[in-house]
Amino acid sequence: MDKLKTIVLTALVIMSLVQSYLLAYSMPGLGVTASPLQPYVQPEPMGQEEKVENVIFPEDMVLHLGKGKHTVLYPATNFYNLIFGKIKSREFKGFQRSPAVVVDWEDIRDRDQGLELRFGRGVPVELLSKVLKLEGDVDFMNDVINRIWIYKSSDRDEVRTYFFSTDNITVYESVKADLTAQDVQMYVGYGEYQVSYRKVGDDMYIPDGPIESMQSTVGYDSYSPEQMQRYLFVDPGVTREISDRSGTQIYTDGKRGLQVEQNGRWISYTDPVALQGQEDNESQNVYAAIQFINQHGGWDGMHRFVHAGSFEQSVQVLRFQQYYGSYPIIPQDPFLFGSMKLRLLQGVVSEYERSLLTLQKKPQKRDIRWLPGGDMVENALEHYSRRLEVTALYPALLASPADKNKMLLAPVWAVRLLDGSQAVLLKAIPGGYKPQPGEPGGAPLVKDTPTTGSGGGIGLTDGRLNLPGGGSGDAGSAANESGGATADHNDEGTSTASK
Amino acid sequence: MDWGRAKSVLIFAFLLLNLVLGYQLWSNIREGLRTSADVGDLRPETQALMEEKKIKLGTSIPSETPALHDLTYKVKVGLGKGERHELKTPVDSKVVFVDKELQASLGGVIPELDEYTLGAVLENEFILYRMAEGRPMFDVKLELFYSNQKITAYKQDLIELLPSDKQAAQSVLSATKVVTSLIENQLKNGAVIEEIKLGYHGQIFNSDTQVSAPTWRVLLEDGGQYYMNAISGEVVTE
Repeated sequence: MDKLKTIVLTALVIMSLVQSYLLAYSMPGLGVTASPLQPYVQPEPMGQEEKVENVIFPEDMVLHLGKGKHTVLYPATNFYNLIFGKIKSREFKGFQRSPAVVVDWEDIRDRDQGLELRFGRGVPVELLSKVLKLEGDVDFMNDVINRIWIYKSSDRDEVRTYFFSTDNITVYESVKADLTAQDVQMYVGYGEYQVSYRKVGDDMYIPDGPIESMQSTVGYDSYSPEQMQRYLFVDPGVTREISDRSGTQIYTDGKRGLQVEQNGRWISYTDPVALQGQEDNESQNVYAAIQFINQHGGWDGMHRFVHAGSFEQSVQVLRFQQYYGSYPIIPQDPFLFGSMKLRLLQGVVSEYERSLLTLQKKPQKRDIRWLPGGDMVENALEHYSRRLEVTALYPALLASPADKNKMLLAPVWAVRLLDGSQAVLLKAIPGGYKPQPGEPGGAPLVKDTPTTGSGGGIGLTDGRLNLPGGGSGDAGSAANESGGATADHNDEGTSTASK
Repeated sequence: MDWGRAKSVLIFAFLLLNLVLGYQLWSNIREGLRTSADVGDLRPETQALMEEKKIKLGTSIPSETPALHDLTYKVKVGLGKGERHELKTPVDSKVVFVDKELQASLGGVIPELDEYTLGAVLENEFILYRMAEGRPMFDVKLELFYSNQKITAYKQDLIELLPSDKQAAQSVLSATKVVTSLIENQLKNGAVIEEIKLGYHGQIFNSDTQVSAPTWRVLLEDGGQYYMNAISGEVVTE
């Protein structure tokens, strides 16, 4: 009996030990899933960082000098910076909403001294309030505006400030803006010695005479696709490289994809995200986009935020237009360059397209090129095949790859179409030749003795030569380096028209 | 000292201990064997949130967490770009539910039919997914069109799996984690989860070679789809 008890006890002790062991080592949840991760490498920072304040600025400024005279200032020029700097320090309060038709804008444009800050396709007020001192109600803050018009009423000596909504129906007047008539007069005064512009069509301005600009050959550096891959993938170790039917390299980890196009000069990154069924907030998306770019490649020089203006299924596309000097860069098809495009869903980036090239600060070669003015541009515009879709006309730089690691930036007249795409309207006069008054692209002929100052005053329309618009030729070959190319190398795109 | 008594007491004590341990072990094993869990297995907070958002679970939650790795495959007939082939002799649509009959009736017509398994039944078509290691590839489909209970045509994505390189397999996230995350972050009020399935999914490129990663697919009653990467836990809707 005693022996039996001993055996039973021993058996029980052993069994409890075995069970304890099994319990301890087969507990679900105790097994740790170790993943063979690559050691995390902190990537070296690339590109410079940018803040939202620096990517929001007017596309151009139109100064109305009164008596039907106008001129246009482009970003990063002296007078533009001066005026915009001053406007930034002013306060705009007490916004009152009213229909745009209550004021006869045509009348004010020609009669009253004033200035227009034009934002192209518009900018959300919430973002604009990071740049200007604005205080308005919720309706105003949630709107998108495309223009600020400040003018000195000619009958009374008072300044009125209007913000135009992109719906083209609503305007907001700031009744408590601390701008004085002297301010406006001073701003307008900066335009006295600029090329004068005339208005054509809907809010487009054409200079009466040629404007000076620079054709530059700029060297560039390039990020490697591997560098970009390190930035964009959580664990670069598990990405695979496959290639496209057209030979494009694709890196993917099954979810994200990074396509490297144009011989490693352009990337397009896609990362599908989950819809959360919340409202998209554009301003938040812009902040998120800027942050994302700061961390994934950085900024190459000056960029301007371009409002997409279309909401398709709460998906938002944002674009940042790159500038070189005063002009935006547009790529020559099929070359891809000049802007960064992002698609965001509730602040999460799902698509990101950009160039891997970064332009060197100093161009290797610069030549003066005169952009034609006057009737030549107007004719080109009138005969443009998609004239009805044109919403803006502005000088730009056409980027095309030159020799090894160099890019040619040639000044052109560009148009923006309704869908936001950009196209070349007219190239610069080849060879650095400055068209004389009366020649195609030159200032109008003046019958009476020319007045000093602006090149092409008022009341000269009858003296113009009517010239065909297509005589621009090819700006590509710079074979004959004629006079004028040795002029001073100022950094501004525009210059005062000299007679 | 009465050794006999002491032994009896010890025997009794160890018997009790063994019973307790045995019960624990048995319930653990049962847990492991069970292939699915239900609402009751979610965390109480998640259940409270489900109640608050009126989210319902119309299916059980798989409890498997196998170790899987990415798939690389070559596309022979473009994904979703395959041609629609009409069948010369329509086949009774019932066969689709029994593998052997399906093989017997269409095996000679549709190439690599044995690699595909029924995934979904829609109004006019059956969707079969290409299987890889016993799990469906959600991007590679064979569609069988039917009308009047006859299969009349098919459309097929054809691929060839490439041998996977040295990359080690990793245990996937459990479906309970997937569901919990979806309920907490993604699902709208009133959503009904209809199916939770482990398979492969990837972003599709304009390329001959594609990559698919282990993915949990969650289908909602209203047609919504969520793909959650079963390794990283990132969610995609499509």
